[in-house]
Amino acid sequence: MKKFSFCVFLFLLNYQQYVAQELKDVLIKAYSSKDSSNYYFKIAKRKIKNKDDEAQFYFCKSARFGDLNQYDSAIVYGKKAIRLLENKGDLNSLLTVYSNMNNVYNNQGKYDIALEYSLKGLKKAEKEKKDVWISFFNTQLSIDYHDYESYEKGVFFGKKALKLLLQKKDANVGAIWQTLNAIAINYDDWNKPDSALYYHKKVFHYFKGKDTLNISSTYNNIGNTLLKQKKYKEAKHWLKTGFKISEMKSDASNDVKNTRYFYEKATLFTNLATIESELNNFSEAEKLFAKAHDFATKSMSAEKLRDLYAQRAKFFTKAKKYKHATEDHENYIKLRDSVFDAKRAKTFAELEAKYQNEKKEKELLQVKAKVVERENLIKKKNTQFVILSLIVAGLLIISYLIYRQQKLKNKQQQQEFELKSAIAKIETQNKLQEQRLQISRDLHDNIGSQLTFIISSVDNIKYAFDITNNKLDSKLSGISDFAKATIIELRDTIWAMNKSEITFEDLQIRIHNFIEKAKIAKTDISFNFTVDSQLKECKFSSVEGMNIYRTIQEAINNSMKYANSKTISIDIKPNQDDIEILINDDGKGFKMDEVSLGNGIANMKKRISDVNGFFDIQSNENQGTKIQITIPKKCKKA
Amino acid sequence: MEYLLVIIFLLLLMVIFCLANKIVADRDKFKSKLRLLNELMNDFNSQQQLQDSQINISNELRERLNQIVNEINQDIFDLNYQLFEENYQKKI
Repeated sequence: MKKFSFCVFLFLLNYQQYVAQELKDVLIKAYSSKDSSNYYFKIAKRKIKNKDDEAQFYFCKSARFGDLNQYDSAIVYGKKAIRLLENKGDLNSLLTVYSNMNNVYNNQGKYDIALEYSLKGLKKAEKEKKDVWISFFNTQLSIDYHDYESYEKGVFFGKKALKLLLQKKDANVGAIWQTLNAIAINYDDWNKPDSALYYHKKVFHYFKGKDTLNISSTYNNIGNTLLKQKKYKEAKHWLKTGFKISEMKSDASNDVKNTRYFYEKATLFTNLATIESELNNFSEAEKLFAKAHDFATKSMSAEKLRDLYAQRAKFFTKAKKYKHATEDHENYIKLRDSVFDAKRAKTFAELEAKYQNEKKEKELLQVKAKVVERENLIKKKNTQFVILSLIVAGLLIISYLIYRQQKLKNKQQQQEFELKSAIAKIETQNKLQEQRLQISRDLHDNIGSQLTFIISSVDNIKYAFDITNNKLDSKLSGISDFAKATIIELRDTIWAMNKSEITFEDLQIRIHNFIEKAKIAKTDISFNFTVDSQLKECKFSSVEGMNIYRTIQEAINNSMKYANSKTISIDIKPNQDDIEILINDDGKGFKMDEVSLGNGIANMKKRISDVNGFFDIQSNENQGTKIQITIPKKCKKA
Repeated sequence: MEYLLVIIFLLLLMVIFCLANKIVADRDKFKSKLRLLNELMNDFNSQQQLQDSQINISNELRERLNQIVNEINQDIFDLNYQLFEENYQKKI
């Protein structure tokens, strides 16, 4: 019965939070009304709109019937409420119904079913991690085991609940009192009165002054413990104080005298009667036992009746009223057996085993989950490490690439600078050379005009004055011819200078022109000039072309001047990778070992060696002269 | 965290790719630039070679002209000498 105050508190709290305002108001009225409860429940039923409302309706109705000691109705409505609430309903309401069902079955003495609801509530609370409810159901279990006279387990669950409560800074004082009480009554009935008194008196740490009006049962319980210690006087004092506090509270609140009230009174009078019996005040004891019997019957508590019959049987035996003693003893046995039959004990054990198994399985699953979680964490860390390593590698690669790019850029800039400097230098040199060439060209033009002036002056002198002196005439003619030859030579040179490259065809034309002039100069000499047509595509640089032309010119001039030949043949043809130039005459020739070769031949050799060629001259007396020139063929496709 | 790291890694990969691309593009650009400069330099070189050969010819011609000038000088001296000799005999 002590548990009810806490249940009601939770129940009302639950109301405020979850029931729709309108329905909530009606249900509160239905629950708290003394006479019009049924009327308000009918109104509330009409206001039900959904499953949640329906669940709250049955939940209230079950609680109300529980308070009115109509246990069967309370059970029926409680089960309906549970069915609705278990299907995604409000958790606090569900746990409250479990608690109420435990209470109802407990009062009926069906401790196995009561225990089942406590365990259900505990499992649900543990699953949802509701610490307040976990400690509450542990306290419930402590009381259940006490009622079932399994005190060791009762103490175990009580201490468990107390530990949970004391861990919380803002723990509910009422809940602590309930738990301390549960532990103490277990110790008390376990014949450990010192421990029981320790926990009972611990209650006064939390309740002082006026607050003690709420814990009259603690006074009764202390009196009960002292009674077992045979400290009758002291026990009587505590019991009477408890009685006075209970009466004061009852008068002050003007409460309905419900089962809880009768339960407490039954306890008190049973204890007082036992004290009187022990003190051999039989008549007083009998009266008190009668009152206790009346209250125990009204409390509808099997446990209370059981205790009463047990104590009264002892009293009647002591008072030598054996008939009454036998009756009470039989009643006691009957009640005890109804509570403690073998089947029920087995169910009790099975339920506990089931709970423990489920708990262990849950713990095992939690351990497994933790292991998996840890493995995942390690995997995650490994993955992170790998990715971080890759990022570091990436950063290193980027650094290297940037460094390399910078280095390359510097190198490129240096190369570019060097190249541009070289180009600028060459360009300057080119400009300078171009200027020099321009000066040379101007000079050549000037020389050409001066030579022309000399020729015309000499010719004018010859025609203007009648020169009879042959020697003088010859000198003038010599100067004129020499100047003309020089002009030709100058023109040839300028021609070569103005060409970037000289084709073999150009060279051929130039040689041909020279031969034509030679023919005019020496009409008695016949010239044969042949060039292989394959060589037309060959090209030379201006220097090479000039050297070849000058060499051929020198060779022909030598033949014309010194060989006294009749035929001069010039034959140019390809010979594998070379060009072969053969200049032959049928002149008088000379002995190679007797004649020292002059500057002309030395110049020819030098010119040919300048173009990487080979120069050879062969001559014998009266057998003509044969010059062979071999130069590398540099034929380019036009 | 992992997603962030993966995104950073992918960004780094993109940066690496872009950098590598830029390096290759820069190198190609520089190569083409260098090729142009080389071509220009070759042109200048060939032009210089041509100028060298022209200068050689010019130098050679200058030497030849020196010889010619000497020869003409000699011829003119001989002519003058001849004229002097002839006039002298006429006066005698």
